[in-house]
Amino acid sequence: MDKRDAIKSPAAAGTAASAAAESSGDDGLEHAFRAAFATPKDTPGEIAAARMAFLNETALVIDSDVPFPLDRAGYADHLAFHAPHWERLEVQLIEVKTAVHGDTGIVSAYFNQRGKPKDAGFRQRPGYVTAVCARNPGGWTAIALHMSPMMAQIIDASPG
Amino acid sequence: MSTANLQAAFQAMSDALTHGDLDSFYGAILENAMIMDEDLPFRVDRAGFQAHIAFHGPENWEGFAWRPTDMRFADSGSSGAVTGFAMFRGKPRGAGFRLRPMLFSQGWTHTADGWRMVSWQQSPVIGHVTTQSPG
Repeated sequence: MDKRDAIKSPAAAGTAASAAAESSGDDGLEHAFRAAFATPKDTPGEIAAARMAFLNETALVIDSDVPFPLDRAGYADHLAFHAPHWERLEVQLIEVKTAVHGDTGIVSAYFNQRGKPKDAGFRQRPGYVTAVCARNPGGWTAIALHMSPMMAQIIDASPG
Repeated sequence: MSTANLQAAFQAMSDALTHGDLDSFYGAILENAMIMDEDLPFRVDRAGFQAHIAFHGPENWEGFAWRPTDMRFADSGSSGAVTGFAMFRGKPRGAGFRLRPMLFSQGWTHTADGWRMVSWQQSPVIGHVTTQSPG
């Protein structure tokens, strides 16, 4: 298997995806979600294409990098800004969970976004993501995507 | 379906929370909803969320409120989504006030009983990238 094909494989990406997701009754929901993140880490430019393919035309996006909500075009612009500035970039998904309610699909997961900007050291950002999806004739697309850093959560003890 | 109906469902849920009508508030959320509350670093379902809110109840707080603003709505068939900002604010007993500005997203699905929430993620603005990138 070619290196890039191996990386595209959810199992090779260090996750628990795969055929089980396809047969779990979610009609490919988990597969569609993973495909939005499973780009080769040494081709950051492919991230935007994969992510945008997953988003519905009217999708709303909250990204860890931005302190305000974006529409689809705004998110595409943000990803396009990033693409040329990274040597490597990937999103490692952990504990992916799906639920299907009629034609609505919910996927959530913990993630570690990690990579190396050009001319700088590595970066890592652990976080949590939820995708709100709609079933279409062509498959599942997201009408909302929310990625937030874990440091946004309350992880300190309450003040005394 | 229309976002007008979704907006009305969202407003009813928000009003129920504001007025302390927890039966109506929790009734708007499906049992297996996936919820990432900003107060917790892990995912919970409705029961886990209820347990957390119950902990926060009147014995610990003189009052608290969730104030959403600048909402955007999207729908596709029977699926709906809401994003926006929210201010959580209140006063713990025996302590000063607290304010927590956040971003939030919700997933909704239209059932025979109307719109029901199936996901809710909240992330304090302070956790998002809010400073200039390093030079």
